[in-house]
Amino acid sequence: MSEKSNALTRRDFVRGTVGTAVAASLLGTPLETEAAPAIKSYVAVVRNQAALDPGNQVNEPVLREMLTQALNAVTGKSDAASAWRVLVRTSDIVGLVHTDHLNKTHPELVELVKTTLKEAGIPEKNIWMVQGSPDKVKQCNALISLPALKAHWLTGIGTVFKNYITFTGSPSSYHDANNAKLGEIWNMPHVKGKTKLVLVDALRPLCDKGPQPDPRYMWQYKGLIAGTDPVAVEAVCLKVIMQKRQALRGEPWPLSPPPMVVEMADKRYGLGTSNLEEIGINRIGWMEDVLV
Amino acid sequence: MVRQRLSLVVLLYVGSLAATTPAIAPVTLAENPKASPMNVTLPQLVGGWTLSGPAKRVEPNAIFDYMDGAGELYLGYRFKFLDVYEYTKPGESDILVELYLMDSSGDAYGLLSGDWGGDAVDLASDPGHATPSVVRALYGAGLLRIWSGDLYARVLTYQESDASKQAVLAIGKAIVAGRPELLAPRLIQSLPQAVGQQFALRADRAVYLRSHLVLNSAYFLSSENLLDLGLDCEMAAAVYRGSAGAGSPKPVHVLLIRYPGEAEARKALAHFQKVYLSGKLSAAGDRGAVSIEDGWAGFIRSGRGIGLVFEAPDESSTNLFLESSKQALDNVEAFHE
Repeated sequence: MSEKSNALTRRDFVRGTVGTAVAASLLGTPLETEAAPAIKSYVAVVRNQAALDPGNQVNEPVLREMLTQALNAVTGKSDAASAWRVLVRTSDIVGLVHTDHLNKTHPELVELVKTTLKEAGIPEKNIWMVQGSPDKVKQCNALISLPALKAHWLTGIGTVFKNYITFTGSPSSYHDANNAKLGEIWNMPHVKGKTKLVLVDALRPLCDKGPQPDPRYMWQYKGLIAGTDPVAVEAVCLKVIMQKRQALRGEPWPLSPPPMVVEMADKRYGLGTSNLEEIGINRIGWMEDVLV
Repeated sequence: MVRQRLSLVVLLYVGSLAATTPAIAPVTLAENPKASPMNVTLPQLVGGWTLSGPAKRVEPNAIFDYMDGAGELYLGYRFKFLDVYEYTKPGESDILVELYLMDSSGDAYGLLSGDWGGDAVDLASDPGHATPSVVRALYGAGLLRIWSGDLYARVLTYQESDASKQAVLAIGKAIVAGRPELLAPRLIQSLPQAVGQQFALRADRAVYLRSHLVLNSAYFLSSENLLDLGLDCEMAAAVYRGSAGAGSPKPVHVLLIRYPGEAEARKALAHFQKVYLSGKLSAAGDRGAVSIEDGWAGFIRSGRGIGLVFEAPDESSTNLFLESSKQALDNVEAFHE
């Protein structure tokens, strides 16, 4: 008996029909392979133990230092202003895309990005907050994605690709199983090629039951995760989430459903690399429980 | 995080899960208390937190405006509406209260069953009376989740303190006051505590659900709804831990499903066989066990019920699970009709 179906099943993951990062999240198998392919993308993981106080308040001077380190890792420039000028032009209209709903991006990070962009010569009037507004996105030349790191009960992970769902003007068309297609948003004409940096707020991530906040599964990672390859950044974020889940339970805790959005963003939409073996991770700062 | 393992006896009212009832903040009822359609009267003042205003009502068609990306969870059960309240206190984190009115107690139970983590708390008993007989509320790190009849509630403070914990629990007591305490869905109760001599139910992983999206959160089968689940179906998703002699340290997963009728069950089983067991079955049937990539899988249909077994270590244990699944489904059916 057989029937043609487009469905991905658990058996496909076990057979290895889909990518290792995604399969590992569901099955709890090792992520690494014996082969060492060439590095295709780099992701910076910057952490500082003083980034949050015990009451989860942000230490803004420390956050500024972390941002500078992240920008340096991505661009090679030693100061934030020079780094921003590598990523955007002073004539650009720069759209900042933060998570404004359910486990929001820390406002201190958003403000800091704005401040340093201005210091880099981007006029304040050209720095727009564009979350939820596809019309504004159309007018932007550059986008800086500022999602907050969280697991998502429906997509496995709800960080980088989920952050642009409102740019379609029809978020509901990406609900249910269609979440796997979130990567296609990045190829829409008004979005494609505009994202100059993905800067993930990993100060206090959520490793289960997202997007609704659940403090049982939030922890002080005190990190920023940055890169120009959105798939690679999401893949590194995914590994942080998976490792934290295993550490919390002390046993394999599969991420279910598997984050197919990561696989599809790579294989179907060509947005970057999801294979961790092809991602160079630049770890900077506090190393305790770095998880990647 | 303190995690307490639930046992099946908890689900079946015979439990002995230890929990200490914490101190509860004093409450002041509103001057003109007005019960919501949920028959809940929240305190105006609790431990210094003040109710900031009337409820914000969220209907099913607007739930994505309130929680984009999370609404499917509630729509995956039979959800009527949500009332949202906030408490504020200068210098302290706000307390968010979400009251979800569901179509049945089973739907509210299902939402709680999605995660048995946290400390069990007995909100209905007097302070000092410990040991809840049934887990109806779980608290952890600032979040209290409650199943109270047809109501599911979340009471959340983002910054936990002793004072905020007391306030959250006091609000929880107000929510459940005067509300009926009902049993867990019979399909959950029907789950065998043990299968053979080697497999024991992990009650802290037993989930009651209706939607394939919720199923995929508990145990991913397919991106497609290949079991034809819907709001007129019910499922108990369970995990069994094998003993050292079970032949495999891997847990065995069992799904018990009840459809509206036998025709729907037949159709769903055929769908499952064609997609999931593609290339493994020579002929359709109501019962079977096959070896696939991650162990043995089995299926059995009895009337409008289907039992599915995944990741069993061998054929004989698969058949044990199928027998126990059939018996469980038949018991539920006999009770209802």
